[in-house]
Amino acid sequence: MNAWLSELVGWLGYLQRPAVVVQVLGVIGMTLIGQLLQRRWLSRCPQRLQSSVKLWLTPLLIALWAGLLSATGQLQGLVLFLLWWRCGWSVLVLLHPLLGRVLDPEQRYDLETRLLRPVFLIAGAVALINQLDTINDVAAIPIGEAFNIEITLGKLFISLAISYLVIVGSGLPAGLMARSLQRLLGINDSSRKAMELILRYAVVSLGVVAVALHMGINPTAVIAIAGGLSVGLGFGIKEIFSNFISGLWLLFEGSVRPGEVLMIDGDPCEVRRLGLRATVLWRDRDNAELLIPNQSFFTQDATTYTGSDRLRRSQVTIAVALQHDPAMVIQLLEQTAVTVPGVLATPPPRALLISYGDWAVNYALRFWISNPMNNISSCSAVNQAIWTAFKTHDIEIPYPQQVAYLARSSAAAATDRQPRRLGEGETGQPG
Amino acid sequence: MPMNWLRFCIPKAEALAAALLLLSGCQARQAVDLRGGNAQEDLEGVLYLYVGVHDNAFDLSGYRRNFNQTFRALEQQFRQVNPRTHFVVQLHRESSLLKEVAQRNASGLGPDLLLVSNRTALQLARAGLTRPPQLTPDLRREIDPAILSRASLHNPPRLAGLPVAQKAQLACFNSSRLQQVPTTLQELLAISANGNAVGLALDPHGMFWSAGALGANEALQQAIFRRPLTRDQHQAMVRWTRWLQDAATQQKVFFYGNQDLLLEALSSGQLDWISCHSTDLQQLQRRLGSKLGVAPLPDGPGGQASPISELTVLALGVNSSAGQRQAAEAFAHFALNPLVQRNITVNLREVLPVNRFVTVPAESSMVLKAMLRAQEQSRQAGSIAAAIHLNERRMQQTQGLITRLVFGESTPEITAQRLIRTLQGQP
Repeated sequence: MNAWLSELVGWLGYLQRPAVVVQVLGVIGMTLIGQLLQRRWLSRCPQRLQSSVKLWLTPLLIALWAGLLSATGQLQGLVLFLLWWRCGWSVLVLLHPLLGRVLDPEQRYDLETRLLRPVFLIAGAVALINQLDTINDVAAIPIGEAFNIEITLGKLFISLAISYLVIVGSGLPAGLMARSLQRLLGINDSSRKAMELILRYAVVSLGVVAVALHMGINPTAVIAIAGGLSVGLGFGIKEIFSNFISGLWLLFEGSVRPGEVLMIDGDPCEVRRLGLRATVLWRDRDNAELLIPNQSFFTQDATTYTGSDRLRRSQVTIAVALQHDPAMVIQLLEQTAVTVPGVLATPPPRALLISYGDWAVNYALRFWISNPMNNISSCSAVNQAIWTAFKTHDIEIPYPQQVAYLARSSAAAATDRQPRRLGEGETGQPG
Repeated sequence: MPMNWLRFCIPKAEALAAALLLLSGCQARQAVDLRGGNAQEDLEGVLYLYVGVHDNAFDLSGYRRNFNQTFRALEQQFRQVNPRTHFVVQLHRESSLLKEVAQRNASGLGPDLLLVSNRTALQLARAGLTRPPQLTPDLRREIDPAILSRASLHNPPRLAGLPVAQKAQLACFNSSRLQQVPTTLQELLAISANGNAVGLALDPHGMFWSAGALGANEALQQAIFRRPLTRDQHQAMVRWTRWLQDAATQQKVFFYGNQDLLLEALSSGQLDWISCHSTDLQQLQRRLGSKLGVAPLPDGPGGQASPISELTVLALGVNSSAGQRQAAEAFAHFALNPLVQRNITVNLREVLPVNRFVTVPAESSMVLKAMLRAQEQSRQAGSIAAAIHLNERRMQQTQGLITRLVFGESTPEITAQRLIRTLQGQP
C-alpha cells in the first residue's frame, strides 16, 4: 500500500518544475475558457456549426497554447500529449453517428459505453502514467498477497481488464459462432440464442481460468479452496447459486430460452434474456419487463405457447339471435375468420354452436395464429370482421331480453300482458 | 441529470485543479527560495532517477529487486544528510533510453539523474539530453584520469557524467562440484572433459574475454576501430575462433544466448562454471548460498583474459528545477565520497570504487580479490569497452557469426574473416 502511495505522491514532484506547471495550468485555463465561450457564444453560432464548435473549440485553444509555448521556446510536450488525448475524445464522439449507420441503437449504446469509451479512458490514463513514470515500474508495485502469491498492481490491472473484456467482448464472437452453428445444424432462433449464451458462459469461464493462471494461482489450491467454499456457498449465498444453476439447467433443457412465450399471471410474456440470476421477460400488455428469479421456473407451473411450435389457438364467443339458421351462421363465421390478417388458413378456423341461451344462441369461433403474443389484437380484428359480416347478412346480435309479469287481477293482467325489454346487448369475449 | 451534473462540475474541478497547482507551484518555489545558497542541509525535493538496465537482463523484476536493495541503502545514507529529499526510481532498457529521455525532456518530465553505462551516458551527452556535471578540483584529483577520460566527450571536451562505480567480469562456479578452479583455458576444457558442465555466452560482451587469453585482443581492437590488421593479428583471430569451435565440440561445454540464461543454468545446477558479472553475484548468492565460488576469468596461451569492465555513470538531466539540480549534483558528489565508495564496495561486493583514494580490502574477501584481478585484466580491453555497445548492429551481427561457428555451420577461418569485416563496418 505504501509503495504505490509513495509512487503516486512522487509524481507530484514534477510540480516543482515551472515548465510543467506552465503547461498544465495552460491546458486547464484553455479548457475553462473553452467552456465559458461555449456557454456565452454557442447559441449565437449557426445551428449546423454548433456541434463542431462543441467538439473542436477546446482542442483548438489547447493547440494555440502549444503554439504559443513553442514560439516562445518553452517546452510543450505535455500540452501536445493532452491535446492528442482531447482530440481522440472528439473523434470518439464523431464516431457516434457513423456507428448508428451500421448498428442498432442498443448495440451502439453497449459498444460505446461498455467498450470504446472505457478503453479510451483507460488507455489515456495508462499513457499518462507512462509519461510520468514507467508502466513496468508501476506494474511491479506490490499491493498484497493471495494464495501465497504476491499480487502486483500490474497483475491486478491485467486481470481486471481481461475479465472485463471477456465479459463485455465475448458477446459478439459468441453471437457470430452461434449463427454459424445455426446455419450448419438448422436449429431455430431460440436454440441459437441458448447456444449463444452457453458459448458466452464457456468463454467467460475460460477467461476466469486464464486470469487465475496469469495471476500465478495454483490450480490445485483453487480446487481445494473451491471445495471448502462450496459448503459456505450452500448456506451463505445459496439463492444466488441456486438461481445460477437453475439458469444453466433451463438453457440446456430448452424450456425457457430467449424468444419463448410464457404465461405469467394470465398474460403472455416473451423471454428476453436468461441471466445468471434472473430471467427477463417482456409483457406486451403494458410494455413491462419482468425480472423473475431462475429458480421460480423450477418450483412453479408454467404455461408455454412455444414448447413444440409457436402456434396459438384463439377463441371468440358470439351470441346470435334465435331466428338465424345455425348452419348458415357457422359457415359465415368460418369464412369471415379466414379473411382476417394474422389468422392462419391451416389449421382452418372452426365455429361451434356452444349453447342455447335465454335470448340468443351462443357460438364459439376457434382459429389459429402464428404469433402467440398477438392474441388480443387478433381477437379484436376477428370480432370486428364478424360485426361487419353479420351486418352485411342481416344477422342480428340481440340485446338480452327478459319478460316481466305484474301480479294484479287476472282480467287486468290479461289486458296488460305486454312484454318489456330490459338490459344491454352482449358480444363475444376473447378467450 | 448526470450529464448536467457533469457539466456543472467539470469547470469547477478544473478551476480547483488550477488553484491546487498554483499552490503546489508556489510551495515548490518557496522551498527553492528558502534554500538559497549552498546550505546542503536545506536540500529538498523529489529527484527522478532513471536507471539504465542492460538489454540482456530479461528478468526485470529480479533486477528491480536487486537494485532497490542496493540503492535504498545509498539513498538512506544520503537522506541522513538531506532528509527532505526523496527519490523516484524508474528502470529503463538502455536500448530505448535515448528515445524515452528525449520524449520526456520535451515535456519537462525528464530525469534529474541517470544511472547508466558509460556508453549510454556518452550517447545522451552527445544528443544534448544531459548536461555536464560540475567537478570540483578535489574530486577531479580523486578519480583516475583514465576513467574520467572514458566518461568524457572530446569535442568540445566535457564530462558526460560522473563515473561512480566499475563492474567486473568474473568466473562464477559451484564450489561444491569443482575441486579446483580453472586458471587457464586448457584447465577449463580439462574440467569439462572430467564431467563438469561449463557455460559460455554467445553475446560479444560475454565472450570477448576469451580473445585476450588467445592473443586476439589486439586484433579485435584494430577491427573495432576500423584499422587494418596485420597477418599475425589475423592469425590470432583464427586461433580464437578455432578455440571457440573446439570448445563447442566438447560434450560438457554449452553456449547460451544471454547472460540471464547462464545465471539460471548455474543456479539450477545445470552448469558448474560460467562467466558472470560482479553485479550478478547477489542474485547467485541468494540461489547458491555458500556453494557460490568466484574467481578471475582464466588466462590462456596468448596472454591474460580480456574481460570488459563496464563503467557506471551518474548523468544529470536537463529538466530539473533549481532545487532539483542542486540536490542531484549533491547526490552525484555524495556517491563519490571516499567513505560512501568504500561502503558500497565492501557492503555490496559487486562493484569497485572509482575514487582512487579508496583502498579495497582485497585480503578480507575472495570476491574483492577476484574483482581487483578482473580490473587488472580488463585494462587491456578498456578501449573495446568504450567503443562498442550491445545494441550496435555490428555486435548483433557478431553474435550471429559466433552462433554459426559454434554450431559448426562455418569454419574458424571464414568466421574470423567475416568477424573482421563486420567489426570494421559501420556501427
